Amino acid sequence: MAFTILQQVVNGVALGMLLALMAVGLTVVLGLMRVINMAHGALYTLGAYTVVTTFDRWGFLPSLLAAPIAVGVIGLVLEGVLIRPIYQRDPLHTLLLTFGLALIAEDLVRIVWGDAPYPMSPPELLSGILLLGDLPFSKYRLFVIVVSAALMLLTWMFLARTQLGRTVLAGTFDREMVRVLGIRINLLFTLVFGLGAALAGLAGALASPIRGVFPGMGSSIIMPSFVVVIIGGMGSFGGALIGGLSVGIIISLAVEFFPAASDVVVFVLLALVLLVRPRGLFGVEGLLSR
Amino acid sequence: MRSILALAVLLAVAPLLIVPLGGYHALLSEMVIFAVFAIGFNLLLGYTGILSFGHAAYFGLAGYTMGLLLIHSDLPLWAAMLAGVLAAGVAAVIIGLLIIRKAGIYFAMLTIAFGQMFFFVAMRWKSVTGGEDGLSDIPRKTLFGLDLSSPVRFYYFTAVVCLAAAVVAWRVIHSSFGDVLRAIRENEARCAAIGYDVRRYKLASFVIAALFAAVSGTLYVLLLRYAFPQTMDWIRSGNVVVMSLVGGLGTFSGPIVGATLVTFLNNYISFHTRYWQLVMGVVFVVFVMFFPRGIAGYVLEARRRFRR
Repeated sequence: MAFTILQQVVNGVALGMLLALMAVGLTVVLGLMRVINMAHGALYTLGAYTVVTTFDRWGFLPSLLAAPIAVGVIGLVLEGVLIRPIYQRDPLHTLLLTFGLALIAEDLVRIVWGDAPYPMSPPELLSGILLLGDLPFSKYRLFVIVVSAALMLLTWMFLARTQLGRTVLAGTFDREMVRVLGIRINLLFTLVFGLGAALAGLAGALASPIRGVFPGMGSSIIMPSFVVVIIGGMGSFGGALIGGLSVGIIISLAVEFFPAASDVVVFVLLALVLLVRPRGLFGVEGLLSR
Repeated sequence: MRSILALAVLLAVAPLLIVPLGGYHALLSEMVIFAVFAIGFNLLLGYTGILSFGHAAYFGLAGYTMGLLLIHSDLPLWAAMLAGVLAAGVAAVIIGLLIIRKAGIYFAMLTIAFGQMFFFVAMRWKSVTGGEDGLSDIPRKTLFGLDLSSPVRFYYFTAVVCLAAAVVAWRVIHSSFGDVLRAIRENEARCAAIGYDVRRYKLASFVIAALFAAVSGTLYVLLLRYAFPQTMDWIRSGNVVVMSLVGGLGTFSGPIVGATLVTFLNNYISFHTRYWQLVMGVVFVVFVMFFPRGIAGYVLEARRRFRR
């Protein structure tokens, strides 16, 4: 019993780190650009299908590298061509635009790769179990945890420790001020959107051996990712991490002990958090409520 | 009132036009049903300026509630419909109270999340909702002794409801209540400063839109005699937003134009290709990018210029 719980917690942390990777992109794009990116799930799907495409030629690990690059470029193009012209308008318009893009992407995936799910297995080195003490854990899930933790750390270091990253954070608090200080905020927008896309692509690639590769995989991850963003507090990096972990662990425990409610517990958690802390765990006073 | 009269005439003659246009009566009913949804939704989005991405939840909840009552109880049709609408109304009040303090896109995200909660309940609560398979063979019964089994009769039933919905919306828009909603859209802070309890008005607008969605949802389930989880999906919530935008936000006729057009197009495309999502997605993107004021918005502007 205790071991089952422990194992589900590990699974939950792996899922939670994937959600955190998704949520970081969503939350920073939201904070800085006021864009709810409904196509974020589609970027995750594209990441997984990049792996499907390059897997035979390059193998798994290089594909894992190719996914964020390919999806990041797609993100840069989407932002530059479609989203940028309509920033000045009501946020409703960017939301609808990305909603349309999500629909388009899902069908494009069906056309290019077909409806059938692709089974994806981790490479030899990472499959099977690892004994920690005398308890067996899935090697691949531990790998996912380590890789995403490293990436979250890198992202955090970028945001908190570099000039550029701090400008991005400043922009989430007051983008007019940043603009007035002479920073070309549009370039910042493109960069951040591309970065968010790359993280989503990587999350999709990492998830492919665990959750399978199928056209609807993006729409199944986007809801929990949104919930993570809201629970964590919009625009908050730490919120995305803590929110992701708590949602991931709660889902995994529910899958084991109360499977019928595994999708719904997330929303119960959401309602509870909102009742106690209306701005989410780490939401900033004033941000996004104007 | 001219628009209401025009709508009444159109609704009356539509069955004569739909067949030559390549449609059928059930499709016409579907168009009218979604018009009811969009008319109510426009009060929230177009007039109050609040974006909800989760109103399909009330659409679906009302449909499921009514369907369950029709299958498991002897309630007459009108009572089952009323119960469905009330259930959705209660849910909208509860969720509305929880989230109405939030503004803008934060609010929109919360509506997505809570809307999706209903979807998952419908998917997972198999013993009651039938899970993924939904509730099938829902009896249509008779309405006050009126037989609704033929497609044409059922269409006229939906048409009467749609006309009633349009009249109610007209009255709301042209009341002092409607003026307050518009004032909130234009400048919420100023509206609050004058002394209006902005939150109560916003909540009222949210619930009214949910009630329209609920009425539409009961009709939809009656049309198909089938209730299924996808009626509550965020894609469907998005669809009604798109209908409002394509038609023209904040115009009286916009949602009706948008709903009928999008539904017709949806049907037409899914008949010809299985990749209808792709085509609809392109339509949305084109409208958002190049025609953000919607069909009615541009028609009204053209008319204004013409008169000048």
